[in-house]
Amino acid sequence: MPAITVKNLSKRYGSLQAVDNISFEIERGEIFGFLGPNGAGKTTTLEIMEGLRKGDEGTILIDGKQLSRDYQEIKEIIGVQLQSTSIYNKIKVWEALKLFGSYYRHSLSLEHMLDLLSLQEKRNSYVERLSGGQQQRLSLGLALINDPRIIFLDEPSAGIDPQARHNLWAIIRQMKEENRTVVLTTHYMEEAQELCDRVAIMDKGRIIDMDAPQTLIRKQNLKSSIQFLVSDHLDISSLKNLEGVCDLKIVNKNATLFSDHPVKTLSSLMDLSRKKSFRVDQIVLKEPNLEDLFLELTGRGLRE
Amino acid sequence: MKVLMNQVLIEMKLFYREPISVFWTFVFPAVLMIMIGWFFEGNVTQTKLYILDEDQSNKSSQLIDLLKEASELKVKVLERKEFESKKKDNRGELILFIHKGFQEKINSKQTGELTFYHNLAYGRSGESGIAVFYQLLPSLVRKLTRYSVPLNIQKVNLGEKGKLLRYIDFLCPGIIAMSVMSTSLFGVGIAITSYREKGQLRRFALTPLRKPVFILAHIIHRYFVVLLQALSLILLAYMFFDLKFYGSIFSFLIVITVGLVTFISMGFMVASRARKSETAAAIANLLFFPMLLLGGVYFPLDNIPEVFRPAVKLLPLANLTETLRQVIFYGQPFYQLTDEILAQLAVMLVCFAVSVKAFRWE
Ligand SMILES: Nc1ncnc2c1ncn2[C@@H]1O[C@H](COP(=O)(O)OP(=O)(O)OP(=O)(O)O)[C@@H](O)[C@H]1O
Ligand SMILES: [Mg+2]
Repeated sequence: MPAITVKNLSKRYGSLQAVDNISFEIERGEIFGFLGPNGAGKTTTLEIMEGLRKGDEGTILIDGKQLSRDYQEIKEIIGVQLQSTSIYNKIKVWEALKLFGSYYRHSLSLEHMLDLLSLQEKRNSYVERLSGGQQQRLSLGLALINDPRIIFLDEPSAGIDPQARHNLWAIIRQMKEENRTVVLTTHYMEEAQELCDRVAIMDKGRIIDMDAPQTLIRKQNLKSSIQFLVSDHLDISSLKNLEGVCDLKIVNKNATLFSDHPVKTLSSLMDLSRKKSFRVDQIVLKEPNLEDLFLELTGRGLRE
Repeated sequence: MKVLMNQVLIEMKLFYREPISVFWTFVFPAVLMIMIGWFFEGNVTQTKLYILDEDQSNKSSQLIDLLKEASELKVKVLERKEFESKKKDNRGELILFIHKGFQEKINSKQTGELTFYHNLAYGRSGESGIAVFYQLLPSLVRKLTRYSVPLNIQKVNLGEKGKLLRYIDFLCPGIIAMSVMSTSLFGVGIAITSYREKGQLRRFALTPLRKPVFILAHIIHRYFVVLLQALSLILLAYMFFDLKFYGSIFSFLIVITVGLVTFISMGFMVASRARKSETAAAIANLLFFPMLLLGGVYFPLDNIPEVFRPAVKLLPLANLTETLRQVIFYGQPFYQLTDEILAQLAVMLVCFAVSVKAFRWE
């Protein structure tokens, strides 16, 4: 039984179709990511799955239970970090964790949470006095306090520093190891590629593709690129005939080769430079990523 | 149960961490009461004088005309039926009874008989009316009788001896009722909507916390806050104005508890759906002002037409004001006030039910 089943979900705000007939399943122990530009409908989709908003149409099963019918039970096993969480201003960090823990039949200890979130020093601070990243960590804490089986994280890495992000990634991987299910949204390609078993690419309320990141990239037959600086007196046609090259672009002295076999292309490029004795500087090899994929799929950048 | 206790505790902590709400709850009503108390202390208004003329003669109507000329008195002539009810349900009005045969006796150089009904429980107004009468007496006698025949004047006390209801004794229960109503209605109403406005309730919707528990926790927390306010106002009136407290503390607690919880539930009802604090404030005002005007806080409700009176007395503010007065000043035990208490409980239950039904987290 999948952890989450969504069938034909739609949601409209006035004339805007925020979610447009989407269906998918998320397996137990999977880390599933939603990618898409602002306004794509990621948050709306997540919040409908969390029971916070009502969809117009469609059915949702969480852990095999009907969301609309067994919501009170489902609440016990899900953990949610909202895109922006605000709780009482004048509540202290430890009080907030304790309070939210008290709502559940089963919850984790305060000390464990403070350690996990690296918020020990801030335990006595008012929530309103926390920095943005610290608040983000606290809201992650509120999501995990009930030791949930299914975890929804809406842009969990927004606004946190690199160290905290690695901490977050470690926590998410730990969750997977414990066979928990994590559903997240992100704007960071590395994050999705690094963490997610599968991603759904959303645009204008629709899922335009959904698979493991590498598979998606392979399916779209995206090319790796090799960028370098060249000297003036270079015969362009000789580059074109290098092994694996399918396209090339030269702007001023910046050359970009697109290749199916970047390693082979690279070594033949080196050979060529030795033979014809011209210099190749500042070589950068770029594997195709989700950003490119998105560009390919929609013709627009992800952060537009 | 543990969840409820926890929630109450947190709400209390949050409240005391906001100095501004503490100010509005405790300092402002106290200042208001002291100001109003001082303002009205010793403020003598025209004394009402009701007259029943049994004689219906030239002399008696001459007396009435003479009394009407006195600027300190506001004279109203009663019918027999009105007289009986004023005598029975006396609120400190002074009544002059002109006996039958008044003119005959004066003309035959005997003493004309007059009786004053006053009410020592409402002391001052009646006493001052009689005092005015005695000041006028020589000229009255001169004008009424050419022979300076003295009048036989009797005084009958309608109220309990020794209890003087001063204005502050009248005012204090009203001020307390009004303060608790406004802190409940506006305090709860605006606090909850502003939480909602800032999206601070949204996170709760995702937890197993149930709405009735959340609402109940808030009511309990507010109850203690507002009870403290009521007690501090009583204490203040006691210290500054020597408020007389004849009732039992227990009855007082019962009456005030029922009233408080009613107003707090009403505050919750106001806040249950409003998305903006302005909306909540507007609704609260809509409830507040009619209840204040018809609440019997500053003046008795006796001037309201008889037909409306029972309905008006069931308005929660009028109800609380009156029951507090009955308990504090007249020393009534709570079980003599069951009708009022039940009426209040009914309003409370309706407000609570509506709150639970209508409440939304965002
Ligand atoms: N409560 C609402 N009322 C009306 N429109 C809404 C509401 N919530 C969201 N929308 C609209 O629905 C669309 C999808 O919004 P959503 O928040 O799901 O996007 P998102 O993919 O999470 O974007 P982001 O990356 O910026 O978080 C947007 O155009 C947004 O303006
Ligand atoms: Mg979003």
